[in-house]
Amino acid sequence: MSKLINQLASLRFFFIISVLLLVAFIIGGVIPQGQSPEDYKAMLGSLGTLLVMNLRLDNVFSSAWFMLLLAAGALNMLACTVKQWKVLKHRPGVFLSHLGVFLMFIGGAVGGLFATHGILPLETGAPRSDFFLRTGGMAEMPFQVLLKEFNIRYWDDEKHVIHVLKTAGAPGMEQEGVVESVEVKPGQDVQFKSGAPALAVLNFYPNFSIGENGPVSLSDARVNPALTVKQAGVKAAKMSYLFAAHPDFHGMADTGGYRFVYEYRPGQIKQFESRIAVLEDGREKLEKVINVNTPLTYRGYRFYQSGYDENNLNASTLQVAKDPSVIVIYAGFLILMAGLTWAFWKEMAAK
Amino acid sequence: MMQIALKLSFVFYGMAVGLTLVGFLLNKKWKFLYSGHSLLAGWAASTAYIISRWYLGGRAPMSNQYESMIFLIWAFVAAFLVFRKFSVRDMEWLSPWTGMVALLALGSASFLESDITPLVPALQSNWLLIHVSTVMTGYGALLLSFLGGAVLLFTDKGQTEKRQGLESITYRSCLVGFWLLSMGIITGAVWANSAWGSYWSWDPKETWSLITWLYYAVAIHLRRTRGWREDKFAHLMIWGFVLVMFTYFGVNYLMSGLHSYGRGR
Repeated sequence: MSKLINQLASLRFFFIISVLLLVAFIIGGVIPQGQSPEDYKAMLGSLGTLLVMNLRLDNVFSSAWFMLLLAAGALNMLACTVKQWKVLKHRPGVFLSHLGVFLMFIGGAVGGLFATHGILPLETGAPRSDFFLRTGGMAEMPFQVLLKEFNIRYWDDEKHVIHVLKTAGAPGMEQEGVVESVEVKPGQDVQFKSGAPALAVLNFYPNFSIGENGPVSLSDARVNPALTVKQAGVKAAKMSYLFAAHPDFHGMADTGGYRFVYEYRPGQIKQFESRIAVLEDGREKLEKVINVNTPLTYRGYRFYQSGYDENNLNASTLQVAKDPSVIVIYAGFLILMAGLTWAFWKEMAAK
Repeated sequence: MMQIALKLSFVFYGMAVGLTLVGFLLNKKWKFLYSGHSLLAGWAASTAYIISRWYLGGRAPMSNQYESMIFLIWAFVAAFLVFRKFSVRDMEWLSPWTGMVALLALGSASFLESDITPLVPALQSNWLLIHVSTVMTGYGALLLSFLGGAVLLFTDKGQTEKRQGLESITYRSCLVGFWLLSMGIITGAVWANSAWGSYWSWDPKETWSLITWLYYAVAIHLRRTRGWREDKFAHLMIWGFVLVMFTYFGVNYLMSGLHSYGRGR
């Protein structure tokens, strides 16, 4: 037995495993992972694709040979830990560091076997308890999750800018050009210094369309931002539209050689937030606002803000994780750092 | 204020190199002493620059390649100054080389996008400061072990005492760097778990930091158990730092992944 432990704990074994792991990491780090055979063909040619697909180099880190390598690494760490146990008194730091790495191997294996990760697409008002597994298929939770509200927060507000262009042919203008740009606010009039007629900016439509009773916005999503405007101070002035997505559309007459172009400047996104609740037997148990760095944890499941649909701001996508290995991995982290600190401190102080 | 601090750090790091050259030409004893003082002044200016960027941006300046590089240079010079405090004789004549490396790195950083921009949602976490600062300080220490190793290789075999000093610095900064690198990877994993629900995703940056970590682990084992010292260890440290640079820069520009903010806009 002790001969076997000596073999497994030998430096030769450690160096061999390390070199093999390094090679595996480099392969996985250089060849893009999880692509389709067509993509590999375009990148590497037929022979390369054959090699990649047969050796599972497209998913190195979940391939059987890589798992085998990790298992060998775990054995090596276990043997080293056991061996260091005998000299624990003299080298506690070295013992702990190896134990820490061994625990990470174990945590990795526990995670690989028992962790579930998936995607939970939600719409406001429609609770659900099933989610899409990353590995394919669906999984059921013993409770329901309800999206109450989804919000996008901005660092700065969105801006509406009207550029005034003087049309070609006007004095001093060989071709059409911008003479002035002014930030406007819906509901307020705007005056121009360049001599262009003043405008009354009436309404903002994030997703403009024409409904039965005139202009409407189909949603709050900024899909087709438009402003309704008319000449200020002119009673008979007709309402006209300015579209950010169609700057060449110009429905305004009598502007005295000026043309208006609307630019919509979206605010810079600060945070995506979902207000979600957990329901059990139809009763609300918990409510929380989650964002990208603040998940919700409930009965071992964790919910993370992950995505949204810009065309439907009543929807939000959450990532679901249930991973019993986290505790083992974190213990490994702590023990490794304690061990390294101890070992290095001793070594630095010795000289 | 911010721009003045940056310019001052350029000037002082330049002086750290220039003063040594002048000292050599005039055969003065102070040649390394003043070089060390200039480094300290340059480092203080860099500190002021980082603090004012922090103040102006209202957040830790560590969100892109430029900011992390400024911090890396700061940490590298800091690591040098700390080691120098403990053994002036062994370290003093590394001063101009440290100044040179800092100057070149600052110069290269100036080509990067340096605007202060608001943080994207994924980076709004206290882990940003903890993770980036540990990794960058680790890189700073490993850069020092690279520098020590490189100078060691060019030091005459007859200068035993000098070589021993350099050997010790190279190894010690490797240990400090490895400790910080471990800490950096761990804080990254904890952050990833709290932001995305998985502590390890085999993203290219993660994979390459693991490669670097394993490489240094092997290097430390080789030295402790197989007696790879002096030139052999110096070579290990030089190649190790090539890996660090690839993990830091190469991955950002050649591969896309969860760390793509590093690339700047």
